[in-house]
Amino acid sequence: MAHRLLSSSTLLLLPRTQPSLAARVKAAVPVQYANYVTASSVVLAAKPKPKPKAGGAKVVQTKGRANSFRKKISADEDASEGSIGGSSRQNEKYYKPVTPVKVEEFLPSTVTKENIGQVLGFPSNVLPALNHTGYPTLLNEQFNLIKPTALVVRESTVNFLEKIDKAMKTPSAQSRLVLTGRSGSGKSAMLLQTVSHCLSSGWVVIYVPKASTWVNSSFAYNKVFDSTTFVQPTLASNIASQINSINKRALSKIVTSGAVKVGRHEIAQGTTLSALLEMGTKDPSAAQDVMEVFMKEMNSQNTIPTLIAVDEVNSFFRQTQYFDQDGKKLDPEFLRLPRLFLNYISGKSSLNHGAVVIATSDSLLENKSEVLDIVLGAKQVSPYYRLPPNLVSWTEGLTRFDVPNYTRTEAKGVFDYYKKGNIFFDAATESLFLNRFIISGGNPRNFFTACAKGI
Amino acid sequence: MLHLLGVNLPDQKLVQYALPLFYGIGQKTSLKILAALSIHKKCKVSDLSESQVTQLSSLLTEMTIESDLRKQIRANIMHHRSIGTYVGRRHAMGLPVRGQNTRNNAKTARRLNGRWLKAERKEYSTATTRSIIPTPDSPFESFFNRNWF
Repeated sequence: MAHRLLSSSTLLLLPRTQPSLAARVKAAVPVQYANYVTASSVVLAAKPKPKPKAGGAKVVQTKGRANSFRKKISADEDASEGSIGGSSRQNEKYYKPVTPVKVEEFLPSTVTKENIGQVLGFPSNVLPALNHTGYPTLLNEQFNLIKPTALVVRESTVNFLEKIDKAMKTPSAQSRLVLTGRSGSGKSAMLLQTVSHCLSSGWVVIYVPKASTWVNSSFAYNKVFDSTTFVQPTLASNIASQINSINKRALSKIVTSGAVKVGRHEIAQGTTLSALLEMGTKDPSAAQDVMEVFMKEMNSQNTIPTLIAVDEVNSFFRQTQYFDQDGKKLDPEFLRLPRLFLNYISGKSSLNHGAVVIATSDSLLENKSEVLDIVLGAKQVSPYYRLPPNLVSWTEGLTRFDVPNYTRTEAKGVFDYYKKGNIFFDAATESLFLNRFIISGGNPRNFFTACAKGI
Repeated sequence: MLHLLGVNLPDQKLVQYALPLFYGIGQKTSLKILAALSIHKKCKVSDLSESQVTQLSSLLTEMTIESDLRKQIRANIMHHRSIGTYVGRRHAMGLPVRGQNTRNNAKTARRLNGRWLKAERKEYSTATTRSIIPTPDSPFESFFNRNWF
């Protein structure tokens, strides 16, 4: 057994064939470690190597004992020798270099019926805007995996964007569209594409990727004096700064129609809306009033259309996680900022030119809205079932737009994109595509996890 | 570290979970306090403003917590003892008070009952009334304040 302690006496006792191995082992091991032999040095000695071995790098001096099983070999030595210790070299199948995929831009001109199934990336002027607001949680995972941020052009995308384009000159109360569909069917993605389309077309866009954070008690709130409503100063200030950074160019051309008083500040007539929002960013206590004045000014706008896009909107149609002073949970209509958006969603306030697009989300059970599910027909109940009247009043007149699963061409386009993005363990063949498409049933999110994680 | 009414509230803790560190405040009263002061549930102790801290301390001083509550509990039990009831006797013996079986399973009672009848510890108190058990002063003071020699 070669890993035992070899001394000169044992050498003499070994048969004729062995001395050569022993001699080689002895030669392989540096002089100071002559009494310690490890399995690695034996194996290395077995392969005749012209390169002289660096002293001491391979063999670890175990104090007093020749414990050859505890071999610690330096990684670079090992990688170069290509022998045992492959654990230090990264698994080539799993760790692949990140290669950005070359994609065309998602522009109004490129979103046509011919391009269905093509994966188009967000344009260079849209990406910084989306970085300000952030992305929806689960989509973010996909975007972090494959660069650049890109989504596939679907048939439903083309149809939906046609509707949006028609809504450009009409009041927003007439175009209140809600994207519905099963979990993972691409509602948030469609909303992102709408946002990108409108930004490229020059609209003023107000995008809220996670409406649930507005009502889950993560922002500070104060009661308004002499009122039953509450204000969220930091949230309003954040939203004002986001809107300003996304739409700076468009907003610096629009001015206020009259003088207003916002908190402690006086706004003169003719101030740009961009400057107004900046003031809201700097002074959180005035931010809510700034937002209300801003939305009022956008109402009367006739030159630039406005898009209000809200994701995870079901959290606006249920009790919030905030408490009123008696300890009862608040309805969203008592929080000024969600109420401002609810007014536009329900049609109580309307923009002269624009659209309101909202998307539901099944991500978190705590955000689930029974009222919205029933009104949109996702849940069937008896007609005698009593819905809370104050929440139902906000859901009137919504136009439903269903987002289906992938068709074969769309899925193939996505698969090719994933292939270029280098996320497959195994060879990305046609049979693998069929396998993944069938087991996911065409559901976009399941298709992604099936491709990326093999489950 | 926010030091409030004798209790250290760690800065990184959520206020919702820091308030129960007071003796006499549990999960429910903590949420009630947050609701009354309009503090959001994910607020950390370090996020509280000065005005909110003063509001909080004024609200807490109105409630019976900490040493006031302990005195109240001790007083209630001492009352039973002093009038010589069954309940008082059971507290003194360290046995179950509410009619439980003692043939088996009286472990908690044996461990915990009777601790309220022992000497009181010195604590931060907002109450002005003196306790019924005499507090030990410093040796110097107790020498000069006693009536017997």
